[in-house]
Amino acid sequence: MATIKLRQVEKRFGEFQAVKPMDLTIDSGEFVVFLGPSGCGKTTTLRMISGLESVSTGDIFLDNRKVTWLRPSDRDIAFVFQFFALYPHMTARQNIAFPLQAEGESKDEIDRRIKEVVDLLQIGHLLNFRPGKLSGGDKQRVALARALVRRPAAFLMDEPLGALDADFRESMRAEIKRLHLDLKATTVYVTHDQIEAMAMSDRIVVMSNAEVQQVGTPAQVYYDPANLFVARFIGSPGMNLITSQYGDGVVRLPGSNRYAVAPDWRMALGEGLDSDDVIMGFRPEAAHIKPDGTLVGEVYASELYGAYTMLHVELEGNEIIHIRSDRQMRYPIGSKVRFDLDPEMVRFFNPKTEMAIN
Amino acid sequence: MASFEETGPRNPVTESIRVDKVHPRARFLDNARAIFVLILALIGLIPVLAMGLTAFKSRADVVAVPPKIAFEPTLEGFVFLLTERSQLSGTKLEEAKANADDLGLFGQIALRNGQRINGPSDYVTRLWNSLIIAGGSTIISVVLGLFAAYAFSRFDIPGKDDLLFFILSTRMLPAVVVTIPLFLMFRQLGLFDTHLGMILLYTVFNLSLTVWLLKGFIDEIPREYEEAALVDGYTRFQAFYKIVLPQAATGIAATTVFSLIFAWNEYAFALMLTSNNARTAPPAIATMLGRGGIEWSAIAAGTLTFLIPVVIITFALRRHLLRGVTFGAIRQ
Repeated sequence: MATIKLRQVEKRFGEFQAVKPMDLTIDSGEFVVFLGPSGCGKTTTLRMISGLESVSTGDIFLDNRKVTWLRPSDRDIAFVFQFFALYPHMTARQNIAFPLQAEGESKDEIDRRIKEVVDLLQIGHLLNFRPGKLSGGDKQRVALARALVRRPAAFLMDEPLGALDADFRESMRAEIKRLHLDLKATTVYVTHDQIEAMAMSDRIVVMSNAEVQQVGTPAQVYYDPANLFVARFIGSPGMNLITSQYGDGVVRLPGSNRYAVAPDWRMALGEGLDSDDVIMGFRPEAAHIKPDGTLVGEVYASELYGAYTMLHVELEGNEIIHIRSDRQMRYPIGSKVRFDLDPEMVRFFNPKTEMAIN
Repeated sequence: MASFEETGPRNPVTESIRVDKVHPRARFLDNARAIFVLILALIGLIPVLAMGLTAFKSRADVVAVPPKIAFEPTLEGFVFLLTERSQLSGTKLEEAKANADDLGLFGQIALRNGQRINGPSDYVTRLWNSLIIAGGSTIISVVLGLFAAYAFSRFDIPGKDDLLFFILSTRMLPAVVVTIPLFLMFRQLGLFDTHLGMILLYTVFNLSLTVWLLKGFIDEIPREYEEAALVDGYTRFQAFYKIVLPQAATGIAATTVFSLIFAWNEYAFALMLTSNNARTAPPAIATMLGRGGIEWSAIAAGTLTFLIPVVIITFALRRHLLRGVTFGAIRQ
């Protein structure tokens, strides 16, 4: 398996900059997810790695071999498409055999390799059908088999589960994850679904506006977002972000709420801020409702999610935040709630640069 | 309802045959539509039918009033059409009649009119010319059109829209306007009355059609298929050949028929730009009218033989055409 290295890779379509120059190193055997809203450049980046899209500037290395200007067929990568892209005029078996025929493998070798992937993915009963006769999940299994059968240096997947039904998606997600653990194949996976990204990846590359916003493990991206975009984009709902004032170790929220900053933050805040303005952020689960809480708000709405209740709480100054609370508790709309924040989970952002302070 | 639970569900209803439940007005409308279509079909088919019948009538039956529906079929028309004959008289006729057994079918028919077959007529050459010119130009224009359409569909070509419009615009001038300049150019280039000239001309005229039609069909084929083939280890040409071509089969079939029909039926250019060597069937049929008395059965036979190749091709490709003429409106 191979490492993938992007060095100052950029893509322009005329005037339009689809991907701003980016650097990224993907380790051998790593599962990296490109996550971002549609049009953020994540698919373009993937296609540049595959060679289906040319690079405007910069270089791409596969296993320290420069492949920037190689044809896709010479890069030793496999690509799994969102809409499967199974050849409609061929049976599943012919589809899987197709890349091997390109390599000029003998018939016996082809049969042997097909049997290998077919056993791995348990798709033996599908081999004689054309793609039109297969369900979405089975199509994607065959497409995976076609990718696997070549034993490529890396797998590139472009929203492979995007076209599947919700219940299929979950089981396929687990299947792909298992496959990756079995094969330890370097995988780059594009999605706009953060649950997929969190569940499957070793590292997430969050992209927006043609730019990498943050590269990190799922936990890093979730708990330590690098900037306001990541804070908002990851999590549903995203991080609560409250524009406030800071001074003398106290964050002054709009209205009368005050939050005393933990001592080890003071230094960082003092250095990271260039005025009194600060944006305080915390996840819904960082707030704990208790009768003697120091912060106060009014229940605006309450949604039972099953495992927990999501409270929408209006603070003074019309700021609405989300608080995750026990599912047994009932909070009538309009009632006052008091809560404290877990100091470990409070983050601060510079409102001008939109970057996290740490 | 109670019995339903006791006995379980009956056999599932897989189709409805309750014709009796159709409202009378709906039935009347259905019938009216059917009749309307039938009338239209008759209007369209009667001339073809009349032509088909006339081709097999004898000289006397052709001009009979009212026209005979039941008659003794003869190949006279075809003999007149396809052979060059000379009139026999006196001893020569007696001699020929004596040796009638040695003659083929056509010879005997000719003999009945007191004629001897000297050889095949010009019309056979004309038909052959039509076949070469229409077939050649169709193949060339579909192949060229396919490559051009693929390029227009898949690659960023500078000025793509202008080029496409330019290609289409070659179709905008009516034949009447361009024949004279073409005639002069062809004469200068030595293309006048040559097969090559006619193949080139029809190819140019058909290219605009094939490029536009095929581009539509190829646009409908998702790029992902070729991209999959590209990462699977194939070159672009291999991907085109192995993936795009089989899927464009429908469109190629439809386009082939369209351009074949144009080249096969074309009359005005053929009349102006050919004289003897490369003359095609359509102007030849028209000139048949003029030669000493109108041989209606020969003309009908000529038109019939002229129709047959297009019918055969269309019939052979009919399964592709059914999907093709919807211009890829159906996504699979």
